[in-house]
Amino acid sequence: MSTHITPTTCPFCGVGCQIQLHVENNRIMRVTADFTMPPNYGKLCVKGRFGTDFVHHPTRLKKPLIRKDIVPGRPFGKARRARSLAEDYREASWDEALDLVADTLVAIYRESGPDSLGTYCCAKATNEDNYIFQKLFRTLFGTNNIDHCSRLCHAGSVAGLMRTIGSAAMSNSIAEMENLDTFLVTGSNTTENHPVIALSLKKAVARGAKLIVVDPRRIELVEFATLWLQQRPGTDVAVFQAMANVIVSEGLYNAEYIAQHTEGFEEYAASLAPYTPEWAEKVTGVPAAKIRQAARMYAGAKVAALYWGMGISQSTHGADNATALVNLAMLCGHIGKYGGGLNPLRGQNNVQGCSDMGGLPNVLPGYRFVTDAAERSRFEAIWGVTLNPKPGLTAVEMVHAADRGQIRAMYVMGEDPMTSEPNLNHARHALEKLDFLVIQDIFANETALYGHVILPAASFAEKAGTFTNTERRVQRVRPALPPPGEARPDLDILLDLARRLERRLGVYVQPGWNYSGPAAVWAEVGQVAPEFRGITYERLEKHGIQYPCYDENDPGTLYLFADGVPRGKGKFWPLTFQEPVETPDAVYPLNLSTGRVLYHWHGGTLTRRSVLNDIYPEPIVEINPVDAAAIPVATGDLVRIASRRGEVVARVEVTDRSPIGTIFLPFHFVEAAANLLTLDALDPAAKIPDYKNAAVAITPAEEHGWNLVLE
Amino acid sequence: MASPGATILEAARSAGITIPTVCYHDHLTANAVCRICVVEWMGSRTLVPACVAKIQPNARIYTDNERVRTARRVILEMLAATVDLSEAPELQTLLAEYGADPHRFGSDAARREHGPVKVDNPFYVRDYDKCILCWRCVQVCAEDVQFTFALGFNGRGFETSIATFFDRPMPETTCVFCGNCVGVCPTGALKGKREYLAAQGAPIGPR
Repeated sequence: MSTHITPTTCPFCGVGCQIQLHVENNRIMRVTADFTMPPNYGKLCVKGRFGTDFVHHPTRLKKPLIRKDIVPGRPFGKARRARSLAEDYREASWDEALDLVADTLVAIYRESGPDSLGTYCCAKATNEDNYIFQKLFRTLFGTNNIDHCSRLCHAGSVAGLMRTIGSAAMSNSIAEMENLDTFLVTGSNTTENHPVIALSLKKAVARGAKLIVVDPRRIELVEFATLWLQQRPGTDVAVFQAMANVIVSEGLYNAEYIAQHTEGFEEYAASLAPYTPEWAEKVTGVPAAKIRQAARMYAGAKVAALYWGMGISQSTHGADNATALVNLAMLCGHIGKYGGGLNPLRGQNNVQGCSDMGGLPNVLPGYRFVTDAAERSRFEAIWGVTLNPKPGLTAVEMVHAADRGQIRAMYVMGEDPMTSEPNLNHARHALEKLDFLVIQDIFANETALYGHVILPAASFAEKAGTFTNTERRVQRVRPALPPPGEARPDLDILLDLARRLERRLGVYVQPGWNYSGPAAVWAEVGQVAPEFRGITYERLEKHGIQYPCYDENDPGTLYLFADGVPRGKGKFWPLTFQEPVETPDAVYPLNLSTGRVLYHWHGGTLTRRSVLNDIYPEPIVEINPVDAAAIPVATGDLVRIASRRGEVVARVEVTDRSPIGTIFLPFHFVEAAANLLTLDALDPAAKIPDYKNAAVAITPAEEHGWNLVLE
Repeated sequence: MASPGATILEAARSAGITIPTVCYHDHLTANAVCRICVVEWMGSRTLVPACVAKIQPNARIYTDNERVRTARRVILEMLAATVDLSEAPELQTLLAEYGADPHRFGSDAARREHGPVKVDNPFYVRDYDKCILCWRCVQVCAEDVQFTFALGFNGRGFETSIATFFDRPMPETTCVFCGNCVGVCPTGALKGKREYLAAQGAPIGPR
C-alpha cells in the first residue's frame, strides 16, 4: 500500500499550523507536523492531528442539488427549510445548476438592482476563492453586500483598532511568544481555541514572563497567571479604564511615545478621572488593589503584549472594549516592538485572509475603502469596470434587510448563518423571505437546507490555494485527494459561474474569468494590493511569509508598527462605560455566555462529522456549583435554558470554570443551538452582536428531545 | 570548531561525525536515558552520553572505538530482547549496523509483559510492549510542549513503565489528546487509532 505525504495548512483555527497529510488509498490515515516548519514547529492540537477525517464523511455533498419543485423557466417558491435532502432535492448536472443560478440572480438583479443581492464569502475558503468571490459580485453586479463570519467574530476588534491606529491585523507574531516579558490575555480561552499558540504562551510563563489574565471564567491560563482579574461579565471597559486611570495618576505612562506617536492624550487623560479603581471595584467586582497591581505590572514592563479574543469583540460595546486596550498600549508605548503590541487572535483558518481579500462590505482587497475615490479608480482601471462607491450591508444587517424584503437573493459560500447568527428564530423568518438562496459548501449544514440550489465544493484537502493565519502569514494549501463525486474546488465553481454571468449581463471584466489556477489569481492580488506582491507561490514552497511583503527580496514582517501606526498618530479615544444590553433580572436571573470548546469547531459542521464528536458528543452547559445548588441540578442532569427569544436543552457540568451567576454554553450544537437564546442588538460602530451576555432562566428538564440528523 | 557550550553530539555533527541516538530528539530536552550515544572521553572512568555532556577545550573523545561499539551493541541487544521493535525502523537499522544478537540471552529471557494494547480513547492507542522508555512522550506532555502532565513513570527498574496516574484511562486524566506524544514516539508504541484499526484489518470505511 503506497502512502503519499502532502504538506499543507491545518483547516481549523487561525494559528495556521503546517501539517502533513499521510494518504493511503485516498484516505487520510495520519497527520504529522514538521519540527522545522513555522509557525507550529511540529506541535499540533487534537483538531489538527485527529480531526481532519471529516473530509471522508459519507454526508459530503457530491452532486449539485436543486429543490424538487423548481422547474426551469417557471416561477418557484421562497426559501424554506427542507425536510431532508432526499425528500426535497434532486440531483442535477453542473450545467443545469449553474445556469439556474446565473439566470435567477440576473433576473432578480434586473428587477430590483444591486442592493437586492446579499452574499457571504467564507473565512474557511482560500484567499484566491474569496478574492474571486468579492470580485465577481462587485464587478458583475455592482454590489458591496459582501460579508462573512468575521462580522460575528472580530468586528469589534477591527472597529476599535481602525479608529485608533488604522490597522486591524495582529501586530506581533507567534515566534515572539516564547520570549515575552509581560503579557495580558483577556476574553480569550487560548488553550481551547488557539491551542498551539497557548503552548508558546505557557512556555513564556515557564521562562519567567509575567501573565495577567482578565476573564470572568476560570480558564486554564488562569493556572499560569501571575495575576487574575475576574471581572463581572460585560464590564471590560471599566477594568481597562481603571487601569489607565492608575497609569495616568501614578505617572507610569510613556510620555515620549505619547508625544511622538499619538494625539488626544490631554482630553483622554482628563476623561479618566471618574474611573478610579474604587469605582471599578464596585462595577466589576475586581478588587481595586488588583487593578492597581495589574496597571503597574503592565505599565512597568520593559515591553508588554496584549492578546484578546471573542470575550472582547463579541459585545454590543466590542469596539469600545478593543479601544480601551489600544488606549492602554498607547499610554505605555507597548506598540511596535518585539514582544510588544496589539493582538486580536483570529478564529478561523482564513478569517484574516478573507478580510484581506476584500470580503467585507466597506473595503476592497487590501482594506482600500470603497468610499475612497482614488483607490476605487485604481481598481476600476485594473478591473475595467465601474465600482459601487456605497458601502454594503454587514452580515446581520443583510439578514434584517432580507426580513424587510430589500434583499431578495443570497449567495452563501461555506458559511452557516442559521447556526452562527444571533437570535436564530428571527434569522429563520428572514431567510424564509428570500426569493433565491444559493449554497456552496462541502456539507449540507443547517443553512443549506433552506437553499434553492446546493453546489458541492471541494474540502481543504482537495484543492490548492493559500490561507493567511492570525499572524499575517500566507501559507500554501495543497491537494492531497480528489474531491468526492462531482464536487469541485470553490474557485472553479466561481469562475464557471462568472463566465455564465458575464455573457448574460454583457459586463466584461479584466482579465476575464479564465485564470490558469490559484497561482494566477494570487498574482493579481499582488497587483491590486502591493503589500502582498513579494509573496509568490514559488517562495511559499519553502514556508509561509508574513505580509506586508513588498518585493521578492522582502523577508516579510515579523511585527507591525516599528515606524509608527498607519493612521500616522494613534488616536486616544475617551470612553464611557456601558452595561450590556440585557442583564439578569428576576425572571431571567442568570447570564449566558456562549463560546467554543477544544473538541469542536464553530457551527460544528466539520467536527460533528469527525472523530472529535466521539469525545464531546452532546451539548454541555457549564454552571457554577452555587448556581447549580440553587436550581438544584447536578453534573449529568438535563436542564432547559430559556431566554426571551428561545429555549434549548443541555446537559449540566457543574464547575467553577463558570463564575457565580454566569453559565457557559458552546454554540457548536445545532440540536441545542445557543444562538436561539442570544440577542441581535448590535454594536453601533462594529455591527457585531453580543454573544457573551443574555439573560436566561434554567429549569430541570426530563427529556432532551435532541434529534441530530446529519444530512 | 565547536561553539562554546555545545554538547559532544552537536560538536560532532558540526564536524560531520555521526553519533547514533535513540531517545534524543532535536527539538526536545535531552535526557540521556537510552545511552546509545555514549562516547569515550579519555580521562573519564565511564563512557559519557554525547547528547548532554558539554564539549571542553582539548578533550580527546572517541565516538566509535571498540569500547563504545560494545556498549552500544549490548544496549541494543537488551532493548531488542525486552521490547517489540518491529515498528522501529531506526532501531532495526542500528541493530544490523552493530551486529547485535538479541537472542544470545535466550529466547524471551527478558520479555516484558504489559497486557493488551490500551484502546481507551477515540484518538490514539498505547502499546507498551513496543515502548523503550525513551521519555519523549513524558517530556512533550510536560514542560517541553503541552504542560498537561498526563503521562509519567510508574514502577522501578525493570518494572518501569510509562503510565497515567494510577493507570487511569486517558479520558479520566488531564490529557487533551493533542497527540504530540504520538508525534515523537520512535517505536510505534503510541499510534493513531485509525492506523491501529487499519493494521488490525478493520474496515476504515466512512465513519
